[in-house]
Amino acid sequence: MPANELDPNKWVDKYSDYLFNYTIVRVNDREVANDLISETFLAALKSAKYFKGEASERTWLISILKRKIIDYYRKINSRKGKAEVRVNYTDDYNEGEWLEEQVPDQFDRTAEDEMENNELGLAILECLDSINEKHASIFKRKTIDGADTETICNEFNITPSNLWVIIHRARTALAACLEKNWF
Amino acid sequence: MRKLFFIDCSKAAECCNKSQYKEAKPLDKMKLFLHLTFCQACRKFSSKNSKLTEAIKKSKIQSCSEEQKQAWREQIKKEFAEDNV
Ligand SMILES: [Zn+2]
Repeated sequence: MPANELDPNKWVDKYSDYLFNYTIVRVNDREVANDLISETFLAALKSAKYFKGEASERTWLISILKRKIIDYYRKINSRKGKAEVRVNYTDDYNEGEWLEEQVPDQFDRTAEDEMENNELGLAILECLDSINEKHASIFKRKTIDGADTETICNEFNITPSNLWVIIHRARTALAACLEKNWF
Repeated sequence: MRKLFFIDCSKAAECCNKSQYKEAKPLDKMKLFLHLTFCQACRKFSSKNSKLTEAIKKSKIQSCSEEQKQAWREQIKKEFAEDNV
């Protein structure tokens, strides 16, 4: 039995925020990001039979998404004409190379910071995956969406004091996970 | 007097969490501040907690809309069913 198995019905709940944050910093357009993720899910379903279970589901989905993003830039560049933006692609889709060439020199520093912050965001989302699913959703609603305590309590049918206990557990677990993997 | 100003560690943690979301009441914040002056464990928690808030802010994580997620769920369900016919 392979170490990792695919469970497409859970992809959206488990990975969509991760895939979205990975994409948005690279394409800077919500609609484009959403389309690329749709394409990624479809391509993943089509090639599910080739999944060997060596990588994690997430890593595998990201590798498909990366290709979709590169294809997207290829399309844009060929539409714009070769003179305007030249991007050297390598056939094995070396991460980073294509992006670096996109960005004019004076933005290098900002872009680098942005990428690092984005990676931090992905690390946070990855850590959230390892905690209780319901706690993670409540934490996200509160912290990332900035939803009201009252709204969340209604959505999940919990009391405010339940909410703060859950937030406490989530924050403690998250801080420990980040400490191990990031800081 | 003691009861008015002294809180235990769990109350302190709750207040510390609420203040990460700017939902702590001023009086509770004062009590937390007082608690932190003599409780090292809570000081440690408080500093980790602020660091986490800082990291989340810096990372600019966004979540995609629930409608979009629902659309993806349906898309996957549909494709998955077709593939398995
Ligand atoms: Zn304490």
